[in-house]
Amino acid sequence: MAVASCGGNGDVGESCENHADCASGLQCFDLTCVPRCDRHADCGDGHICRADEICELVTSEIGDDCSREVDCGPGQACHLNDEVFGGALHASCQRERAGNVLDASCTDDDDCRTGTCVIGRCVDLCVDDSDCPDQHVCPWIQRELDDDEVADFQGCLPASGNIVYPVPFTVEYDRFFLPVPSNATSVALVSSLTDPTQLVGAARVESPTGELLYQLPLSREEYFQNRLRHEPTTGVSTLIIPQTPDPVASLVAGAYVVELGSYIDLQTPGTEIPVVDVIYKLSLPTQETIRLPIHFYFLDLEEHPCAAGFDDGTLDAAAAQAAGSGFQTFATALKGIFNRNTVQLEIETATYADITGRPDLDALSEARLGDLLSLSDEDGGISVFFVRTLSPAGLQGLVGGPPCPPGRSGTRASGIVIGVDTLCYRTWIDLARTTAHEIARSLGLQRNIEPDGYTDSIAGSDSSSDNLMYYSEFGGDDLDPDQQLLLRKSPAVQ
Amino acid sequence: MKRVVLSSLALLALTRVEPAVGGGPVLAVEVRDLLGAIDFVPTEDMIDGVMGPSADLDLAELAADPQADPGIRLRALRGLALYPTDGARSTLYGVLGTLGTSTSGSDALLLRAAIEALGEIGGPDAVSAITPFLAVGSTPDVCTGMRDVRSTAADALRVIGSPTAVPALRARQVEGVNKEPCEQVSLAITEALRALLGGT
Repeated sequence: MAVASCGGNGDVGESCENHADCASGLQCFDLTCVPRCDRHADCGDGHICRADEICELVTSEIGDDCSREVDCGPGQACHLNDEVFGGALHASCQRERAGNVLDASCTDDDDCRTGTCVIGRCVDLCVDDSDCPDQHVCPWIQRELDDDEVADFQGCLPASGNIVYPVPFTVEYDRFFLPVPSNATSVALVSSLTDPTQLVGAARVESPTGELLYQLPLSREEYFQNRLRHEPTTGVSTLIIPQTPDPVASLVAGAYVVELGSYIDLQTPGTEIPVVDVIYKLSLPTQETIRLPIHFYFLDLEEHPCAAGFDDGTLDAAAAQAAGSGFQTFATALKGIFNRNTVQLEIETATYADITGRPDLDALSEARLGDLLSLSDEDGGISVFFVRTLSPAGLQGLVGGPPCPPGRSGTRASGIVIGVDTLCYRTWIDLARTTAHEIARSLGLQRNIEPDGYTDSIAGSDSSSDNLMYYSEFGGDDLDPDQQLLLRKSPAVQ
Repeated sequence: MKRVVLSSLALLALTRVEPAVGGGPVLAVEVRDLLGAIDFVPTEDMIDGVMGPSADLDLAELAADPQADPGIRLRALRGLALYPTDGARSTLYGVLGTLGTSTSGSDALLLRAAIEALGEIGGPDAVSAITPFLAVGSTPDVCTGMRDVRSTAADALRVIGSPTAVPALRARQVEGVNKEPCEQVSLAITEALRALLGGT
């Protein structure tokens, strides 16, 4: 097809007979001048974008082989045949279905126009990124076949952000494939129950190459022996991969095999069917752009015995926001700790809220942690609750999970709790370090060293007391580069 | 304090030693750090691991030492709940005696920790020592700052599980000047009575 970009003066929307009739940078498409194309998706169904940025009609017959959506003509879609050739799924042009378009949620192939539903969304087949719409890429994705096997194909997924895959779960305990697309940076497996007394979580995880990464730990030793650290907890639990940059237990593209369920106790099956979501974080934000929103909640802190440490003896949502307040000193210090560790904590846009009418939670016992955290109502980022005191006495903070379900409010593990009675004997700056430690745990970092000597799952990790993840209040606020990387990979961090 | 220092010296070959926060007794770093745990209560094994076989006595000395850092002292008091010995109980009673009139600051926290620990290891004999704290700092119709101590006392009586606590708990529910004005405490009292009376 000849292109003449000079001579014509047709503007966008004006009629034309050929490209020469249109102004520079435009093409004649369907007898109308339109901008030249950058990607195939710019040209619409059944067309490709040629190297010279001109859209061209594709002609294909039903049954023709295809490897990407743009290989098939108008009214057709490139459908997977679920037959494997050369390690990848074979596809052919089929009549387009009356289903959802790319990125729409789905539970079945028939829900999608292109007949391909994976990780809960409709996907177009592709060969490289240019086959996909803007802000999409073309990663390898796994698809479960009828014979309990898994095969790969390439499909368009968003280039960044989080996507959530609701895993179809119909029994109390089941085994399923967990597909991990090649553009996923991290994966969080969140399982939950309505019954807060039953345990829920994974019992076994195998890597795509068949290595056992995790099995249900029945002792503290077994917990630390697992390559992936996780244990079922009451009501809700979260398993995040990766927990280490080490190749063996890091996140790899492919199909993980997961067994998951509910339990009365670790030896007794549960009676409730879990709700299971997989949260994929796609792409790794740069240090300059990475953000963590934060939400502060205040229980009734009136007449507190440590009120001398507050401003004018008051600490609530209004007082906390006052310029120059002790709380703002705390917030600035908290932000500084995360900034030094490559995450921009969004203190300036933090939300503040009072929680009234819950005297049963003002002074919080450890057993009621889930009741308080379930009051969080701001999705995205991290929720921080301030209570009068914590029981057992001496606790300065508690963390949901850990880790917390990334970016999710309203669950029994959504956030952290800080006891303000610490201000009777420590400063706001000290409390900022304690809070930073708990936030980092909620995001998936582990204590760098346990009091009984166990270390985190990062090989060669810094186990000194200078580290932010040191278990004691007498620790530092440094994170090593591997810990910083894992923090940035958390799906809660945007 | 002497015993804590001695224990620290015994650990010198293995550990660094430095002053505790606030210029109190010298502690082995491992002891200080364990008692400074942010979000967990150290187990008896953990404490014995850093303090040695006389951990309960060392904790008792720390708990009773007014020169000790309040944060460390707080955790030492709570740590005594893991050692149900006469010495531990005696220390806890002593703290109730010396800090029983405290209404604010870290002394109020220490008092709360002592009551909580006594609830764990005091048994029925501790009921009479704890019940006065059900009304400590209470003013009719005003929910004062000592509410946390009062609710801790109710919780401790629930944990002890002795019916001898029932009259004192009920007295705080009766309309009049003795009625508990704080809902936070009232709820703890109700929970305690429910536990002691079997769900009524």
